[in-house]
Amino acid sequence: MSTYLHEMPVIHIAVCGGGLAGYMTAAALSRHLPATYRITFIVTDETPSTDIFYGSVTAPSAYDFNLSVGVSEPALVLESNSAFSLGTHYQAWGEDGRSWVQGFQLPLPILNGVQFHQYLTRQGIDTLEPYLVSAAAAKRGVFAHPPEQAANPLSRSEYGYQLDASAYSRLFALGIAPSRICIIRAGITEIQASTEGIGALHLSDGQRVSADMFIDCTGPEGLLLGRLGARPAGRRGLGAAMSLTPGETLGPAVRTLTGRPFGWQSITPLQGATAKLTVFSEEDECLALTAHGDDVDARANAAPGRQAQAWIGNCVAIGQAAAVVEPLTPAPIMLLQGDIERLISLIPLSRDMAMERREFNRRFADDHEYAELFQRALFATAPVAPSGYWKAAQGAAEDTKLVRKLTQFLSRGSLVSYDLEPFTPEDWTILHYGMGRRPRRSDRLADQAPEAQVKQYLSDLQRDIVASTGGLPSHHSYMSGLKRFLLQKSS
Amino acid sequence: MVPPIKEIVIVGGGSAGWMTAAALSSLLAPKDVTITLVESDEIGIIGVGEATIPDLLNFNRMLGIDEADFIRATNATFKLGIEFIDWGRKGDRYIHPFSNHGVDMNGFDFHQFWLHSRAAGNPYPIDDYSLCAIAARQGKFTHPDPNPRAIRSHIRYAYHFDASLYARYLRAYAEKRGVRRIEGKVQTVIQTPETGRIAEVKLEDGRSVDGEFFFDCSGFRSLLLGQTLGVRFNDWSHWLPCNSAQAVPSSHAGPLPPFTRATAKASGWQWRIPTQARTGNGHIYCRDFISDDEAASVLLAGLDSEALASPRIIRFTAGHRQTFWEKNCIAIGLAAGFLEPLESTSIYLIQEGISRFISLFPNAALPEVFRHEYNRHMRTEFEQVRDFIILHFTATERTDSPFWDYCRNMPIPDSLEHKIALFREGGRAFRCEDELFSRPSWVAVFLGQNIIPKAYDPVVATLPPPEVTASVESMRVAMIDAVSQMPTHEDYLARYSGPAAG
Repeated sequence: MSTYLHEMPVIHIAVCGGGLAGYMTAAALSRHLPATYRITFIVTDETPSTDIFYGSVTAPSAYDFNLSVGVSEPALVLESNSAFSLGTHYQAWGEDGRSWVQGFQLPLPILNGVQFHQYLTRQGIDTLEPYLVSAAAAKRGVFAHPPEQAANPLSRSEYGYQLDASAYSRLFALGIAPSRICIIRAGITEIQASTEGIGALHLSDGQRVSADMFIDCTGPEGLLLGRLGARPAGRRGLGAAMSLTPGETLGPAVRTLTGRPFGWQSITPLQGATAKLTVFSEEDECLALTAHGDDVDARANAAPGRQAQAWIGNCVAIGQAAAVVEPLTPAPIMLLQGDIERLISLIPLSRDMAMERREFNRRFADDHEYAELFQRALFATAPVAPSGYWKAAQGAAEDTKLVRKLTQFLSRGSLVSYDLEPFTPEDWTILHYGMGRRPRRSDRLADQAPEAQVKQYLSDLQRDIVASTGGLPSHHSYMSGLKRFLLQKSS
Repeated sequence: MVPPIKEIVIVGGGSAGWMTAAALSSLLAPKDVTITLVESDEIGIIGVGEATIPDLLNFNRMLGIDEADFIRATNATFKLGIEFIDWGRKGDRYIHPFSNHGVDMNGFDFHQFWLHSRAAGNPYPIDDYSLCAIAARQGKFTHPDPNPRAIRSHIRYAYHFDASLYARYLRAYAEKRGVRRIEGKVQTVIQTPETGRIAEVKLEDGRSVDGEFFFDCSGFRSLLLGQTLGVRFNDWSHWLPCNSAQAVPSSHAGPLPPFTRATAKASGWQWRIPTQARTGNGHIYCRDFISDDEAASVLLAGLDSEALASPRIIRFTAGHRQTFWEKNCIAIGLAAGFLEPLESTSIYLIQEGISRFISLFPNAALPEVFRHEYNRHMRTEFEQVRDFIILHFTATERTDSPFWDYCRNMPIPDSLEHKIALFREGGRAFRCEDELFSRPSWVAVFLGQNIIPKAYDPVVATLPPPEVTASVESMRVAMIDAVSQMPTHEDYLARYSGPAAG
């Protein structure tokens, strides 16, 4: 017979750190765990500057995640400067200077069991973008929530959020269930550890906090995990600079990311401001900071890479303490959410956590490997000569899984997918087209549909997308209307 | 530029050989590549009644095969899962269905809600929340509803069929697409001295067949990969001790069940696979614990109706070749390895061997990176299926025979030990790297064989019991209702495909 909660031991969990990882973790634990788990949150740094490495966009999965930890979309819209995101517009990317909108998109239509892009190949059509409703809306600068009616092409779009990490993390502070958690604001002066794990933390206010389990949210430094033998994981040093420029009008629901010899630069419209982020290889710091201009609001360095094990002994690293991910795609926040969900699904049932630790580490490695695959695919192109950033990014060893994905798409347009990949087949299709990869031939099954019918279908779809996005309000006026509505409703 | 492969030779027919030929011929044009299959009518084909898993639908779909036509040609019936009898304890009975149990809610697995309701007194086994399991018990079948909101969209199915008829069917398919069949028995295999690659096979009648790439579908003999290239066999019999089988067909006894049955016996287990023409039966056992004669009487005593022939003996060892692709040769089917058909994976492993080759299709230089990836992948597939099969033998409380004493106490792979511990402690089950049997399958066998979690998910535990019980109960009722509107398997089959080939 299954154990009831009152028979379970009390387990004390101490979350240590701050910023996005700390507040998201604290909110999630406080919302999900029953009272047999005692939670202490030691805030060592409210807004660490390294949080700019989480980037400025989330994937569509943020909606559900946020809701589950007590952060609703109305709260997000009213109480932070976050805005909607239909995707990222890459510009001047790679040696060929590619430009495309990497939009969020529900599965593309499958006709007679054959994937949509196979028909493009068969018809000799070279572009995917005219058939993507998110890309069309992003380019027009318009936005609306996807409607329910399947007949409207807009129902195929999806959206995430545009954000600045410090405001976004304050939202999660509001999500914390206060009755369930004890918050201490202090620095760490000493970490007591043994081969078993961490025993206690000595804090700057003189307190000593012992716990059964420690969650390391101290960012790239990974103070707690490091105390248990973890070494810095990244090799290639990256710098990042971020500034917020105030502005009245909310720009389009799309982030623009432009390739530069030193790295890249992104512009992300937010409510009341525009966030500019420059990411560069450390040796090009001068060049990059000159190009960044303005006053820099936040500046940090970090080395992308991940720990072999994110859970050692009784200590679990979440977010950057486990892995620093370059914010080229929504991957950093996606993986942060994943780390937290994985932790919740494997929360220890007793003080012996060997089993949970092993499973957590296995899934951690898988999740991160597959996200990296997508990021790495952005560099599968001719190098930008002479660029230290590009050379280093491409230097990573040839990955058989990525090779399979690329060669299969090029030969027959097949989308090889691995288990539980965070990026969807649509993400990959859009990326392949964006980076100029076209299948040499189409799937033979695509030849079975009558040509005239396919032609008609494609032109209808294109026309419907133009028509449905043409009538939409701008992102700015949609947001203003939405806020007015929400405020009226709550008053 | 390295030229593409132009000549492919398949040694051996049967399901493995003809599935390979059919798949390759569906993708390659005869003007680009010649495909030759060498087989001998003298060499028997193993396997009569064959049970499959839903992945076969993808294979047939890839070939563009019409389902009703296929069903007629192979005497096929529909299959919704496997019923296991007497495994955990004598008298136990559960179904491993192809569909999920219940519906996951708010990101939490259904079985956690079920465990929660069970603690509050819910008497129904988890089988009662699977559409496929309920339909199987009642002998009902229908195709899945294409509307994803309909309950009947949860149906997943596979087939039982006559394997030799399937091979014949695919032979016609492949020959129509330009595959050349040569009747003959291979006498010697010639290698290129410098590279060790296979250059040609010489037949008994003196003819020779040369090629650039070879598929070894020669069955247990593993003529090319094992005998010629010397790839050794990785023996798993310490985990899967069964090493013999006896098979016999019997006549039908009552309506056609839409499921496979696997009944545990004192020194092994017995399968029952219904095709349209007759019922295939087999007793898989370990000769260290029971003689062939005794095994034959166990088999015959366990039939539902009279035997139509005398039992035929097959010998095997569980395990696989250490590499599946060596030089310019890939082994498919029994030549690659053998796992007892407890979870109907034989055809699947053939299919996976073929489709992984297709997805890595090398040029004539045969890059090593592809070969390594293929071997890694196939080894993982075999290991994952192996673990799932071992679970059935290790998760038992049976003490009635030396065979079960051995199984109960044998050391098991570390990977499996970990999975069992995760479930036993907190009902946790997660998918591992693309594994064939996903969470619902593991949960079905864990619970069906009495591995009951000591605790359930602490997050689910915070939900009020009456609410959980009500939503779990509403699913059960909805499933029963959906099944009551389904036709019987026999009626559906007759209407869908008409009379079988005979």
